[in-house]
Amino acid sequence: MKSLLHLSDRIVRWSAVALLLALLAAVLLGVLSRQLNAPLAWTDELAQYLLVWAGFVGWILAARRRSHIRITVFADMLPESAGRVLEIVTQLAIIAFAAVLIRYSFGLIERNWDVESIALPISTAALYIVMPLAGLALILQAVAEIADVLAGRKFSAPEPGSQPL
Amino acid sequence: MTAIMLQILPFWFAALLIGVPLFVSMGLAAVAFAFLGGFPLGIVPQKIAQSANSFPLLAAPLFILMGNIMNSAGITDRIFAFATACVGWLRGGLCHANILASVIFAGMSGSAVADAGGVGTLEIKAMQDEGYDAETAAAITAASATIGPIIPPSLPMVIYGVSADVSIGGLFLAGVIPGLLMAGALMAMVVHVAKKRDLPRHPFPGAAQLWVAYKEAHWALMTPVILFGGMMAGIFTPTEAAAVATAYALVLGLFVYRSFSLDDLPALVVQTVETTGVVLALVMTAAALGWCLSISRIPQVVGPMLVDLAGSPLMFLLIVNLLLLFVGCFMEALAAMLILIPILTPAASQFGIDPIQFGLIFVLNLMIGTITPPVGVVLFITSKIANISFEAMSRAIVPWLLPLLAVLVAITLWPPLTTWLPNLVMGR
Repeated sequence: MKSLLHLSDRIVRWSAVALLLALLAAVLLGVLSRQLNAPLAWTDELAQYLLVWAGFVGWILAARRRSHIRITVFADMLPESAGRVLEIVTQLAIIAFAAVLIRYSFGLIERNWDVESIALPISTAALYIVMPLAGLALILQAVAEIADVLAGRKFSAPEPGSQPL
Repeated sequence: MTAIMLQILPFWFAALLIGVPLFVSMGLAAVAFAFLGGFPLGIVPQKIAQSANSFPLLAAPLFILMGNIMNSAGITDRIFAFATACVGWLRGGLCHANILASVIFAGMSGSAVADAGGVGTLEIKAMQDEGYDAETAAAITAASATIGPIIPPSLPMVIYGVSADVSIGGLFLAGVIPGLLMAGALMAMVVHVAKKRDLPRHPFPGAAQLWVAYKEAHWALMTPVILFGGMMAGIFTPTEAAAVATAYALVLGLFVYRSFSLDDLPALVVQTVETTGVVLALVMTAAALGWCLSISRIPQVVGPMLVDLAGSPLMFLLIVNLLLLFVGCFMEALAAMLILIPILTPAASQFGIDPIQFGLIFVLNLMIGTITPPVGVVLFITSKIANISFEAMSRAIVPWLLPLLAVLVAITLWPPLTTWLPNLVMGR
């Protein structure tokens, strides 16, 4: 179980590296090809697809490290037991949302399977293929957090350094 | 439709307050709307994925990556050394250098957090070594870090531009003058404090020394030139500028300063994707919820209501400022931005307020929010670096809020401060 988790974390991290560096390369290639008066049509679209994928991979990373933004000022004022109940409610909300994403992203993939992208020779269903995985990761993480709350384990809040602005 | 949305909003707000992650609460609100409104539920994941399929939004991960590379490639050290050589000989020299370094760093990074955590670490340490008390050092660092996202490039402006449909290039240009004003106002405050407390100064370094410091920092100082020059000359869009500057920072770290190795890259990229995930989760679900709001005609209902309530544009801006400052105390800037954009911008456009000026007011308010307790990300970071309590940090920051608030008042009352430069360059 531990090693499986370790392996999946590694896969997520390496796909994050690959996606973002490819994204950077695609945008650079777009600038370069335009400066050389031989603009490539597909670089922008590719970069945007990579952004969607990297975005969902980022959802997973942020969920794993508990860095998604949530407002805890008010929940922190509550007594311990009420806080634990709220935490479980919160995790159940995450599971519900992720379940909707998984359930309906398959329909989107199916419906867009035959729709070609504008410049790339791939189907626009590509936009939606990482979403079920992100949903699954959110659910697994939420289940683990519920188990932690029930077992009485506590985690410190994420470092504010992961806040973006 | 409007009635459905108005029923959902209190639940959404409650979920927000009990600590459900913001992106989940927005996503669920959109799902609830689609369900009750009889839309196919697939519309929600579709809007979520499609909203990230956007060229301007590509600038977000690229600017985050650039800031991370700049910070870890030792480029910040050179900038701070250069700033110290330039203004260190004034009374309270390191305070001035702190502000100047933030201005320069602001030209190559788009986030207050990156500024506080990167160049801020150096600044606080240098000031403490020279006998400044930790509170003053941390407070000036925090206050000057807010210049980071006002002077372009700017991550909050990318998000604002994408979400409120305003030109990102225009917002970037609009930030230049207010950013410099913030630096000027903070420096004026330093002059006042330095005289009162008789703060230390460095001897004047002399032209030769200055030249040496400049040469050390030369390639780093070229980053804003490339970014700006490229955008002003119309060679590239903000997104492309972000990619080019990121590549430039990489080359600088790997080959010119050799302060950075390829082995460092994966960790930085993973960190960048994580931050991007936090940002995009909010932007994507806010887009889904935004679709629901516009289908239910909430802006058309709330807009006129706010217009009636405020009466005049100036009164409206006053209310907006107070609201944003208040919200900024309790909420992260990004969260507050995505929640309030669909509510406030329709009213602003009905009042005929320039969308670029309004964007700057919005962003500046929320950046001040990053240094106001109890929820102030930048304050957390600087208090940790200076090793003082958050309470002490919160007290120390108070006088330094005044110069920033003065700039906020100025850009609110006098639109040309924000609109003149974009109009000039973009010929609007």
